[in-house]
Amino acid sequence: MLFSFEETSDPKPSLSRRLATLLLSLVFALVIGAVFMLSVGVDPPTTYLTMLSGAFGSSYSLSETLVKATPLSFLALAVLLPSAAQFWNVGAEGQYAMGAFAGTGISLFVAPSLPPGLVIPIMLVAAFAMGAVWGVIPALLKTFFKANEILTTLMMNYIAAYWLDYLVYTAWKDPNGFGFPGTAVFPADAWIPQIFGRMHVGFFLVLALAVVIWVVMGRSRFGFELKVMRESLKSAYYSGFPVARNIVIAMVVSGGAAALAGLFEIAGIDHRLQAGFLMKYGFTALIIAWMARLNPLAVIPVAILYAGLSTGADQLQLSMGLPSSIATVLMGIILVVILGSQVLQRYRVTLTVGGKLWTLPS
Amino acid sequence: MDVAILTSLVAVALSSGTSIILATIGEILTERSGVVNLGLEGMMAIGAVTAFAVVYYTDSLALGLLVSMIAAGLVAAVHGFLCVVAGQNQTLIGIIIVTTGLALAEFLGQRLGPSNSALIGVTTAHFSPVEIPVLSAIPFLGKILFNQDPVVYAMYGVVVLTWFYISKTKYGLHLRAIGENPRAADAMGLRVNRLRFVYTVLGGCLAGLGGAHLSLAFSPGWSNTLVGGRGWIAIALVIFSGWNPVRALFGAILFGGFSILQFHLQILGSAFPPEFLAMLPYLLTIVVLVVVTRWESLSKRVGAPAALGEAYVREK
Repeated sequence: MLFSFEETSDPKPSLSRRLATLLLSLVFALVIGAVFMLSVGVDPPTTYLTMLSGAFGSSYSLSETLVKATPLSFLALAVLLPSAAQFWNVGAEGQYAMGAFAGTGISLFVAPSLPPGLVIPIMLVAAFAMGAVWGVIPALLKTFFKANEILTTLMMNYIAAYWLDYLVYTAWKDPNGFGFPGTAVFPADAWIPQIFGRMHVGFFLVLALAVVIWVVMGRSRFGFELKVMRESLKSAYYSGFPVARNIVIAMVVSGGAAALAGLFEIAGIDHRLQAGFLMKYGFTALIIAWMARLNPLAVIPVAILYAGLSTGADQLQLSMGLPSSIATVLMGIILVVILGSQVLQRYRVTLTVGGKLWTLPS
Repeated sequence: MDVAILTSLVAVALSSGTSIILATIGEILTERSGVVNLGLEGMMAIGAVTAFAVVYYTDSLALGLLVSMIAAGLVAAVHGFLCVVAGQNQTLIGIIIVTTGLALAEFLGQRLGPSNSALIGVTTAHFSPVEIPVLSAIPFLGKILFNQDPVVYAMYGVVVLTWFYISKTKYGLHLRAIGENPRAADAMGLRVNRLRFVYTVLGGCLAGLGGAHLSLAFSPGWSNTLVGGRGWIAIALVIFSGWNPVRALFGAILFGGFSILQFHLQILGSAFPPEFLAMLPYLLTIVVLVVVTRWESLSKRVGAPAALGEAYVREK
């Protein structure tokens, strides 16, 4: 058996061919997923159907999917801006944690002395500011010292995670919590209202944020400069664009938006900060942003799909006893196949088995 | 602090850093060829869980090491295919590989135990220190370097061989050429993308071996947090080492030392909350990264391979 790759000179494949490739690769990914399930002794059709109904099958599951889609969309929109400026914010997780930290601090220690109507606005401002500070540190380290942002943002995730651990296990642990690692429940003024199941107003805010970022990217000078920076940092420098300043601005907004996701999660869902709060959404957010091709409006449906996969997997855990990490594995298989299928746009692949030839695309 | 305690501290630091060094050496080979592999964390987890599962069922430590390298190598082959052949964005693919690899390792850890139960909390055969006669009698250094488990000894070999290979052999020169100037290397007749693929897989194998050292020697067992960021620290160490295997060795001992230090301070009853001590290695990584990058740009030393992270496409 022999593969050979021959580069094609077909620069822009037609839309119908791209769609066909996408569909074919989705089917192929589901088949690989099925093989994986069989190899670990699970029945693929039952698994897929359980996931599907667990994600979108009832109004409860649909609302749970939207509950998960909210922070994912927030974080994906957050990382999208710096990505457009060729700055990899791998630290959305940490900024999300710091938003939750700021919100918790306000609702536990400041809220009792505030007029009720002001609690949530102040929590929003505090969370945004805290996330912006956490996000701007790696931006400054990059612009002043050229320190690799992938590593600095990532290391700051670990630091933020240990900081939350310190709060829930020691410093802010609820004294009346029977040893439970978490803070006291927030006062009611600090609760963000839920609308549909546990889905809260944050979902509509994230829709609005997507539109705002879309307008900023498409219509403003800042958005234009980011676009040029994404194509080529060199051209941006030569055009006299304030490259460093744009990175810093993008990271202030990015860190702030990621922190808002953390705030909505504790004020809208948990109503306290507790152990196990961090869901490792940061990487997922980057993947969602890129699969949406850095288009803010496309982020929302991609995030809902991903959230569906994840709530579907929770259902698997409940009804079939399967670890929910299978959702991430399946997502990985789908991504690898979709991204790998692009090889068919770059090469003509020939497979030779025993003198026979298969060529793709034919 | 008396000498005996210091010796044992450095010895444990070396053992703690061994998985990081192996992954760093692998990443140096991959990056020298022009490919960034951010997926180390996932590959180490895959290596750790597969090695542990194999030893659990076969009691063969050697087979465990072999399988860890094959499994992580396969994951690296996916990375190589997507980055080198399909020309996708290497950072994005690396992040996908990390999330998928960690999830797969977690899934396997939950399923591979007896009758589909978890491997967590299960015990198996594991590596123990083997004292090398004569050499271990060297004062101070003997106890540190020559009273370790066999994987640590293998790691010495890997460091020296890689250094020799990269800087003294023809193939090492080819490796540097495809990472520095793929177009010229292509003109010399080197198969740029094929070599890059091979070095990506080789890097993954070493990361897998590093993972196996964690689950079979340094802290025998499997848990979802076993790798705990070591893959990322390895990537930082590549920058710290200036893509030089021997310098990577010292960096990894330093980092290993830091993660050991927190346990010792905890035992000594430090007033510091344990969470703050646990932050230290990550904080140190940031500080070192800033200092090294600053120093490199001041000394005008070019560290990174020039074509790092760029897919190579032949011009027509």
